[in-house]
Amino acid sequence: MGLPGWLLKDEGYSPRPDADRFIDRSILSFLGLLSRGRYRDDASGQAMGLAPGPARLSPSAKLVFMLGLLLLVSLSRSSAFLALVATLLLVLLASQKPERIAAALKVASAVSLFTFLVLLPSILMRSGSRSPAIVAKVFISVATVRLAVTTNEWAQLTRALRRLGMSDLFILVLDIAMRYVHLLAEFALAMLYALRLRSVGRNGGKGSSLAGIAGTIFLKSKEMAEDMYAAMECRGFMGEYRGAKVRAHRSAARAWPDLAAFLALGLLGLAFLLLKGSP
Amino acid sequence: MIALEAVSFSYGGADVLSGIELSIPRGAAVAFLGPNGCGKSTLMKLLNGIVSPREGRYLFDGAEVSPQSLKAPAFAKSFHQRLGFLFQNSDTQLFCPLVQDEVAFGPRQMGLGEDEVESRVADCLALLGVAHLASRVPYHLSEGEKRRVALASVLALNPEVLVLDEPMNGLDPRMKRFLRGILAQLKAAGKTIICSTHDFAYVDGLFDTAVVISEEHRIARLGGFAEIVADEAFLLAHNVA
Repeated sequence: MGLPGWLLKDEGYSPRPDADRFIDRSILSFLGLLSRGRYRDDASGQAMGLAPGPARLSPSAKLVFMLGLLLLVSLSRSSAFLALVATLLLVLLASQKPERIAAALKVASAVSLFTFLVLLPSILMRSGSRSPAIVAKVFISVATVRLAVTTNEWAQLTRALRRLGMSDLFILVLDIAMRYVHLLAEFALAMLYALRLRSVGRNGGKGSSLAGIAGTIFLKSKEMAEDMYAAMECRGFMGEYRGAKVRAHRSAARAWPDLAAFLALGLLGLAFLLLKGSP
Repeated sequence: MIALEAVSFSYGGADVLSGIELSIPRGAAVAFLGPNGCGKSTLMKLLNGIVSPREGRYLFDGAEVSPQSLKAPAFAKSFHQRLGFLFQNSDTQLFCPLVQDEVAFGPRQMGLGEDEVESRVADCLALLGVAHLASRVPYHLSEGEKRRVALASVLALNPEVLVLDEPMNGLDPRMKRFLRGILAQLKAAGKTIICSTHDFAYVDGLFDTAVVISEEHRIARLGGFAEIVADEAFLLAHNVA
């Protein structure tokens, strides 16, 4: 079959204006997600430019310290204790690179603001409300988790979870979920590029284009999940997974930052007990 | 029509393209050859404005294509209409509920009347031999059918330049011959064809020029397609054959 006549002529098309910044915004958010993943995957502690402090701790010690701190903060009823922990957290943050400080504070502030708005009626209606303490706890918890996560590679965190006795199957599922979020984000990004390249005029159905992309990603994720399960079955997976044994890799001489962290956690525990009765 | 002036691109600190100098006149048919990871796909993306040079300039019809110029909607939309891109993975290119909607997506945005849109859709589907798939869901088609629908959706915009990233990948021999025939017709109609490929056998006689990209991400050789493809020693040395 020969080419139709219109395909042999120059189009002489001049586009009509349309507001399609939503595509660019979506592209930017997916790029952000992908670059964050790549940032952690690529880098060793040195390459990430980590400053002294949490970066020198082993991932396991960091995880134990973080979980201990979160437990103490959630149980505490003392404003003085929260102020002490917040001060410690700010000191730890201050030893980080500016972009890492910004990232931790940005997320923690956004979540705290949302919590504050939700609790606002309680704060206004009850003078003795503990809502401000809850907002402070949320801020401390989110900033602590963010700091721990951004100063580690994903693989280091999963190894640390394994050392702490977490089930291999749980870690495998977590690991696969993270990897597939990344793969699907890459796929979504390519679809958004395709949409942008063909958005050459006024698109009356922006919502349906995005819904189409979401639907395709859903189908793709289902297909990938089925393929992966089939591949696992072909390699003998019967519902149980046993990971490689994790060996301790730190010499006693290099373990002092971990010991210092455990000591600091012990001191915080003591402060928690001493300040328990404070208002 | 297309000029790359000392273009370099890096990704996460690693060079992907380095010092690319190239000029492609209107109506030319250019094949980009090179081993996996040499930067061919990135170059195809760069030509479509998906990524931008870290160094150097990319000119399309005399106008610089850059993140700044693509922020102007009129320029970006006109640029994307004039330059159509067939992605390597057709799945990423198909986002409409039905094949006919997929092909009609571009013409509708261009503001063509509904009769003209329908006529273009019918022409493109017939040209690519997928008229019988008009009411099917794109995602459930075979790889070859998806590739043909994706090409139909690009052709419906009537672009002047067609950029194809490994169009023969994953296709059976008959489909490769069919695609080669369509590209030959488009070339004869005066369209500029730019294509990255590994598959010499099925594109023989289609391209005037070949550009070989080396593993160092530079242009290793630029010349007549037939002459370069005949130089087996050179192709072996550059991991192309």
